[in-house]
Amino acid sequence: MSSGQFVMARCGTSYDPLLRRALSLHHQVRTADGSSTAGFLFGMGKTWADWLSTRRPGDEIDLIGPLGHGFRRDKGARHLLLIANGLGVAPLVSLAEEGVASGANVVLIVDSATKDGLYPTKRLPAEVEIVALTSDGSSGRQGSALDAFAELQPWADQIFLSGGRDLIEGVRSTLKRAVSGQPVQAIIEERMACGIGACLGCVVDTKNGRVASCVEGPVFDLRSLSA
Amino acid sequence: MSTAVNLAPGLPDGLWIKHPVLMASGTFGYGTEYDGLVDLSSIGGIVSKAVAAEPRLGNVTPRVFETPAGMLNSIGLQGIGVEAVIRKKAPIWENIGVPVIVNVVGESVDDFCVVAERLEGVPGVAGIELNVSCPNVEGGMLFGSEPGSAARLTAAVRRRFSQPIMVKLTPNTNDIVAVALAVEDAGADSICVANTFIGMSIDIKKRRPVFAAGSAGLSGPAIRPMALRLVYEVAKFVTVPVVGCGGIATTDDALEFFLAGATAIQVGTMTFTEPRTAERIAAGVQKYLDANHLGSIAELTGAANPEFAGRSQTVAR
Repeated sequence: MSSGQFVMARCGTSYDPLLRRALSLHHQVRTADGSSTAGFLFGMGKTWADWLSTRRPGDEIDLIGPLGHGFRRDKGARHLLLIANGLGVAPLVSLAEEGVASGANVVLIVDSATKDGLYPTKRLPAEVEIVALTSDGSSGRQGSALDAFAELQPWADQIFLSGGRDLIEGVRSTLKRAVSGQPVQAIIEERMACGIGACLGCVVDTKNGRVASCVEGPVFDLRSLSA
Repeated sequence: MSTAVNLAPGLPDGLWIKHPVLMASGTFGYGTEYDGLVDLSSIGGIVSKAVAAEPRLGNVTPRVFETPAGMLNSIGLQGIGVEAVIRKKAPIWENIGVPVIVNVVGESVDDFCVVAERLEGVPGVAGIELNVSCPNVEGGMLFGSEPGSAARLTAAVRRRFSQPIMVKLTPNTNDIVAVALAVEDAGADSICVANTFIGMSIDIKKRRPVFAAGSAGLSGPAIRPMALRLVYEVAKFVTVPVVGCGGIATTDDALEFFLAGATAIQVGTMTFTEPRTAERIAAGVQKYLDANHLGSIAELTGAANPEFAGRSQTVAR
């Protein structure tokens, strides 16, 4: 799988939950014999998440995938700026790992309401520079990911976003005002049912029309999205 | 023993499907999206995504929302339009290996007629499914909400389309039996019971409906008992094949619908959860016929319905 891709996971054996859940690739370990282990990150508190969290090593999970298009790192992009709101950090961890492995400098900006929502930094490669912000100032700087982005934007060769509409709009405005317009990719999250392009539930408006984000995305070039 | 059924016994060539299981419209795209996940040779046929005279953008997101044992959808009939379907999809359907029935939508009787006329004789198109859950732009009522409008629509399309017509009824009506009889009279070759039930959900954090349009269509196992009962009622009166649809997830569910009076069934929402649902049901039905020494689906259809009105029309091929 590549960072930004996802699987549709069956998170139970009953009609609750009925639908599969989309899980982005969070972590990937390739072994010498060619096999790999994929890791997924999710928040607790819903029936589907609690069920997944009680699976034991050796249990099988029914997945459809890998699905969608992942992030594309430009050859020659040495300064990668990754920005996430809360749990949106999940796919960016895998991207950060790939970036570091290829020798790039990676900065990850992540924000959360409080320190409890911040991703544990020890799970990231040591080479990744982490800028953590909380709205209440309980850990790291007080502020939002957008505040840190404005400062670090000039440094970046390529920018990768994983968060809400406010983050995407905020990055757009900052780039409009900036001198340089770096390439930006954003992972767009829409509610899904099928995950494979049949139901048209998860559409996104792009310059090429209204497309299923599970097939044409979920990673999109920010400039290809309609305003 | 044969699992084949004829969805248009009134027409000389009929519409034979090898297994009494179809993929429901709106849940299987244009037939190729599930390549590699579904073995089409193990099911009876596909009903395509809704096709209108012109391309449609559909509704804004969110368009889907899970509910207990079900889901609400407000897709808004996004589609590429009949010309693009004929150019790009029908050629694929010619070689897809199973019959493809095209679901047809419109905002007026004329709209439906335009699509039906264009589809007549197109290779790859085995028949059409008339989606009468659409609101009529004149008056705003669903075409299928009352017998007169449903019959006028069916008759107009019947005059312009000689191949099999399955009319897919909406359950959101006072008297679905009257609507069913009216469309049968107007020339429907078979009747699908039924489309989604109107429902809604409210976002309590944002304090507004989840869907921009307010209401949405409910599907999935939650609606099965209601859809089943509608099949049972309609099957007491119409003589054309009834195709059951609504929350079918297992072979046992399908058997309930056959026993109620269905000649075939459609699988929709459950395909999202388990793409192989339709295949498993087709295989399960075959096994059931064997185990119970039944020669055909006809011996099952309506067996639990003392007032079943359908003629025995499935003959082993």
